[in-house]
Amino acid sequence: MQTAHRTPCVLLIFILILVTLNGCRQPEKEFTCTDKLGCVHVGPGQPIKIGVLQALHAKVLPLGLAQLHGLELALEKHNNILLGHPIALQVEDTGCTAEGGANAALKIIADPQSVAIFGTTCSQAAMTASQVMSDAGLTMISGNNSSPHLTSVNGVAGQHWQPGFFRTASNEENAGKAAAFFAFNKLGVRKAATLNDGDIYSKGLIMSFSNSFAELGGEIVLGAAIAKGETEMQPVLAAVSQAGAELLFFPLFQPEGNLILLQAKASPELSDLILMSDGALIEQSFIDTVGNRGIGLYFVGPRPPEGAKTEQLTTAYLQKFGSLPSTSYYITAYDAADMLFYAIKNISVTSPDGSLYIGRQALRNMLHSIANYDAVSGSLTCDRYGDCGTSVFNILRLEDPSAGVKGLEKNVLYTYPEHL
Amino acid sequence: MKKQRLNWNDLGITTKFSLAFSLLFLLILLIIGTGLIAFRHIHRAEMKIHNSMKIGQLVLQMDRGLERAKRLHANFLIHYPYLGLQKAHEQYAQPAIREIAEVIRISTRLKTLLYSQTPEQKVTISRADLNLYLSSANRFAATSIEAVELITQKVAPERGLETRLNNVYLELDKALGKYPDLRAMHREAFSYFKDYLLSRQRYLMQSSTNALEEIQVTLRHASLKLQDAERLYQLFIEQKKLSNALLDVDQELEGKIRDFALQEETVRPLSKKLTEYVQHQINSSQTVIQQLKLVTGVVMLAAAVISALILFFIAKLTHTTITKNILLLTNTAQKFAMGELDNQVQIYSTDEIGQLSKIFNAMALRLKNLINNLEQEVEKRTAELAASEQRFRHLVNDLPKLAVRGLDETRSIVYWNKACELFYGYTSDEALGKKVEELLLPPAQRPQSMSQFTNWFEHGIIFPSSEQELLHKNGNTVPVYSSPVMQVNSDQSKTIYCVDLDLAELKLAQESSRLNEAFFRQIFEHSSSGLALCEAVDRGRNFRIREMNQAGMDMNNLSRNTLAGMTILDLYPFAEDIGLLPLMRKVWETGVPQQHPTCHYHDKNIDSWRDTRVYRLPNCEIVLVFNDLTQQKQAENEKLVMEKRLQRAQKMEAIGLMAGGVAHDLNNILTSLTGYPELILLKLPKNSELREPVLALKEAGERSAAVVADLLTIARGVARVQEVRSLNDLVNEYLGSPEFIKLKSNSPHIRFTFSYEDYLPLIQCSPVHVKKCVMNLVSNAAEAIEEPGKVHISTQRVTPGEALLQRYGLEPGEYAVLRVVDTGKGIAKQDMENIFEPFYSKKAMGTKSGSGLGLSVVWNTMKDHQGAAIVSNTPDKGACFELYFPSTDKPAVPHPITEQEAFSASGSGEHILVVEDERQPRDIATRMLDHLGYETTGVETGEQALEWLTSNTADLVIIDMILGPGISGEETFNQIHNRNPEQKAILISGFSESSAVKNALALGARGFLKKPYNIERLGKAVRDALDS
Repeated sequence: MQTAHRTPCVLLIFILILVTLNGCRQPEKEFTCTDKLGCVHVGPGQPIKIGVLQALHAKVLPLGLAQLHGLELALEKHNNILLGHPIALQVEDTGCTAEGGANAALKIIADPQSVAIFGTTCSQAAMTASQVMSDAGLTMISGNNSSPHLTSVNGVAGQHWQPGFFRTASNEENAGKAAAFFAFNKLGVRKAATLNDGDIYSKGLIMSFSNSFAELGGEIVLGAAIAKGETEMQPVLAAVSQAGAELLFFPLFQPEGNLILLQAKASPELSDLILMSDGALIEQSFIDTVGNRGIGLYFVGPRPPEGAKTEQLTTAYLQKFGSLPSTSYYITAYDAADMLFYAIKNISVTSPDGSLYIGRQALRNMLHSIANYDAVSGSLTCDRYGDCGTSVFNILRLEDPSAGVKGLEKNVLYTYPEHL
Repeated sequence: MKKQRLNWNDLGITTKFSLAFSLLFLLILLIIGTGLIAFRHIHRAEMKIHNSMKIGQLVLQMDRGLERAKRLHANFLIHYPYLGLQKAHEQYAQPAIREIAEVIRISTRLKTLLYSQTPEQKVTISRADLNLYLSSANRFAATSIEAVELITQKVAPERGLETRLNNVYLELDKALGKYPDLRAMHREAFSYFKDYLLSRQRYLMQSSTNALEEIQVTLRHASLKLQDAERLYQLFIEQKKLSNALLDVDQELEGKIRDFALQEETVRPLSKKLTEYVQHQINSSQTVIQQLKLVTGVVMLAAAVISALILFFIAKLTHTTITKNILLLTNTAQKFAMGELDNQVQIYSTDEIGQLSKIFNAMALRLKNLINNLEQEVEKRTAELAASEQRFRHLVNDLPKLAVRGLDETRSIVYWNKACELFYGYTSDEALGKKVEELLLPPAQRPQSMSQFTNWFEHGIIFPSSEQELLHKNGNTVPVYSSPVMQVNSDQSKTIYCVDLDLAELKLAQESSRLNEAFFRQIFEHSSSGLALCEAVDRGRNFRIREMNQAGMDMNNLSRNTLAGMTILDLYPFAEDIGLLPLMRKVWETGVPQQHPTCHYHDKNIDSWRDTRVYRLPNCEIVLVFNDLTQQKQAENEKLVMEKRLQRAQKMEAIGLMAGGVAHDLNNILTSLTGYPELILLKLPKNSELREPVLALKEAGERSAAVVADLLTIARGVARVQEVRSLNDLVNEYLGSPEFIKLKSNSPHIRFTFSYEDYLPLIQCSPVHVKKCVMNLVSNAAEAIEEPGKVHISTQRVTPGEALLQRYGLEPGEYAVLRVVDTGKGIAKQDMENIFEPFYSKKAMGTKSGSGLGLSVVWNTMKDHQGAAIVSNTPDKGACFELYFPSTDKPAVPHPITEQEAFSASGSGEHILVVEDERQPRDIATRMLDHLGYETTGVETGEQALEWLTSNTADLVIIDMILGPGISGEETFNQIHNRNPEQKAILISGFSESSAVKNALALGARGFLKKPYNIERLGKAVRDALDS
């Protein structure tokens, strides 16, 4: 009987407490970003924005396209979705120049939702673009930039190193050493000339070559330069001839590289001159342009990745784009994009409403901490300056232009470091 | 049915309180409800203010950010011409874009805030204007970057339009150097271009282009070299193209700058509108809050007044109907407590208090009756208690084993039971009234005991029960356990009663027990068997060792320190596996003693044979009695090994004796068996059909001779150790021998490999026998391989360990070891023991080897060399034979390897006397020597020989060492030598070199020839002797 009286009272008190507590309810606590460079907040259903800076015109277009295709293959692996958000690309052309790189980077950083940048094709563009993106707190990863100045030279920060810059392409520091060792020890060259186009890529490579060649006891009899876009190469070739050089090392892009080769071959006084270029010309369009006149040209280039994963990726490339890649740099591009997505996935904080918070410094830290990443180009480990790729270089010689890039890459005369 | 009217007094207290408190609760609800509504409205108004302020703040941030970005951009436009494009880019353009990116981020937040406003807060600005305002940062960013790109196109180093145009002008100036008039015109055009760069006036560029057009017209009339003209026209076209492009870029840039101004004009009023909207929102919200405060105040005040009135009413009602009745009931109860048992409560209501009053009245009545009965009961119980006390007093007084004595506060004895008289010898008359210290306490104990009594009586400090030694009347001490207890008497005086228990018998029993324990402890400690006392832990899963005697600790390499806390599993980690722990558990559970069978226990600390007995003590502790049988077992094993070795040695000796016994006769027979065929072969034409069977006969004889030779080797002491040689050289000699070459050619499926130790010690050996051992082992190895396989022969320097030395009876030191390893089937375990025994062959009879003596020869040879032959199976199933030769420090005897000299055994008529008791050997010897060109005479006995020599001379005497009846061969030689020391003689025998032969050789005999011999060996021995 007493219980019957008590029950409504207890119920009433309980309801009253609930009403009071509801009145005191605090609004749901929002995520607080403590990242020192800030966070990108990707709302529910909104895309994760990635800026893409590549050289997408003129002669360097194949290189830029290879990078873009590598990125697309990596996107396909993730079905273009990361943590439930689509990935949106903002593609900008750098024109393979420093100014182009800087302006294209401006377009990316103008959007505060940009999470990271995939690029660039040319080291010259990377030099300015990385400075722009680094100051804006972004992260940039490249599958093609190889100038030592962008990361480190002899274990210390390069002249144009910027925090937040990473690459899976090889640091060309070893390329210069490989070229010098081969020229001095295998070809017996004692006098060499070098030619740069002002690009930090070509300058970095020549610096490494010249230092190593001099250390071995050789002499750099001429260190010449040409401007990008220059077409008349005879004066500089005449200087090479007059200096008595036995070998000309010209790490240039197209079309300047093509012109040096063609005009040197046309000069009878340079018939004994050994010509050596680099990975920028290990490209089908170059071989197609120079044809048989390129026979005997030496190249120093990164050792292309091999193995089942490479074959699988090449097959996927062929299926998606209909033709074989003109350069193997799409592999490092694929790895760069894949590693970037992996890092984003690992550091993103997902809110209950499905939105994401991506810490900008956290993204950089994550990439720096990557070790033994099982990538297509091998096991990748990023160092404190952003170098993640391997640095093994081959010396190649063009024997049969009809065999194309594949044939050229198979004709390995020397590998540096020698124990690999 | 009569309807009952609801009367307040008839309601229960619970109902009355429920109604009163419900009313109060309603009042509280009213106040809370008012508060909640007020809070809600205030909160909404505050949120509105908060949002509005946030919007205002964001608008302000946006405007400021946009302003900063514009300023930076303007600085870029101003400073790039002299700072340079890259520096201006870094200093102005990039910060401007970073600033604008921040503004875009703010605009996104602002947009979210504005679009999430409630309908009444909706922004009064149109959505189109709002979007225009919010996208202003994006538009500025786009325009700004486009402007930077245009400027880049213009002034980029090397590739910029201005640089390229300037280069064209300079080239033109250079190209027109030959034409001064035209050059002057060009310079005018160039100055127009420079002016354009300063002022950006389009007409100046047009003037420059016009001037160049004029030059072109003039040039068309001039006669120029074709090459010059082409170059100039190219430059004119380039100039035109570049100047047009520059004009377009500049025009576009101007458009961008105008666009900036336009954007600013558009955005400014919108920003102002938003600010006004924000202010309006804040004002209206503040008004709402003020109004709410007023309304809430009034409502709360009214609620408070009503609440006070209701509370007063409830209090009055509660007092009249509840509190007043309770007070009445309380007063009546107080009176009842004071003893006024006739009081009753007045009842006014039928509620719980009315019911309580009724119950109280009934209870009071029953209590009154109960008290009356209780007094009678008390009297009855008091009488019973007195009787009970009397009984207890008797009991205490008559207790036979407990002495009870009582002391008053002056420590005088006031109670003394019968047991006290027995314990202490005083009667109660003698004891009562005496001070306890005078009567019972020994002098030494008195001060302490007296102060204990005083402390208890005066300060209440209790002294505990204890053992005491009190005095007997006769002066002896009485050990007692005394328990004191204090009793406060009815007159408040205190008495201490001491209850004493006699300990004399207990003390005697304790002493006896101590002596027993010491006795058993001595036995435990000095027992030669290990003794361990264990207690079960973990429900018998393990046993902790409580104690262990010295013998046990010595056996287990333990000390007292390490023993502490040790369990059986700590001591014997494999106790479970060897069955000791299960046995201990069984004994622990059943109590039946058990014997653990003798076993070998081995772990990292203990390696010994153990014999253990386990039994259980009455307190369930387990005792292990164990003995170390290791030495006994070792002795047994050594004895077994020795016995085996002795048996084998005896067996070998018997075989050797037997072989030695028959060897002479056999060799004589074999001499005929090999000699006659040889003689026949010498006579037979080469194409004779008889040649093959005779040859087979000869070979059968030779093989039989080899068997006999092996038998003689088995006879101990035959393989005499004579020379110091290198084992490597001996192996090499065998490998170069025809036997090995033949073996290799017969075994194409076998690969022979070799490896030699470079610094192998020298050995003292019989080279012939060692080589024979090598041959036997290699042959055996080859025969063991049926499929393609390998035989590896190696040598090694080895210093055997203690175990090996003991097992094979070797002397400590360095050994040269020959090892022959094959990849055959290996040797079955059961054959290992017997493999060196004669004729213990696993090979089928009639196979290529077959004598069954090969390994026996090896074994005996090794015994003669104080070495050992060891056989084992290799991990890949083949067999491995190792021969251990003791090393020697003696220098090696040079052993020149010479080419076989061309040898002529032919004689030239020299006369030879053959002394041989057997007819056939004698006949063969004389025939062979005849064939070789010697003249021969054969005699049967030593006496005949001596006689013949008295009348004849011989160039050489051949003497068989064992002659028939008469003097022996040795005696014959001795006598011949005594007569004519220059007489040349050689000895022959079916035995190997015996002591008799050695003596004769020492005396001057020129050689020894072992039977059976062939014509070549005989011829060589004779020739050597004659030529010596």
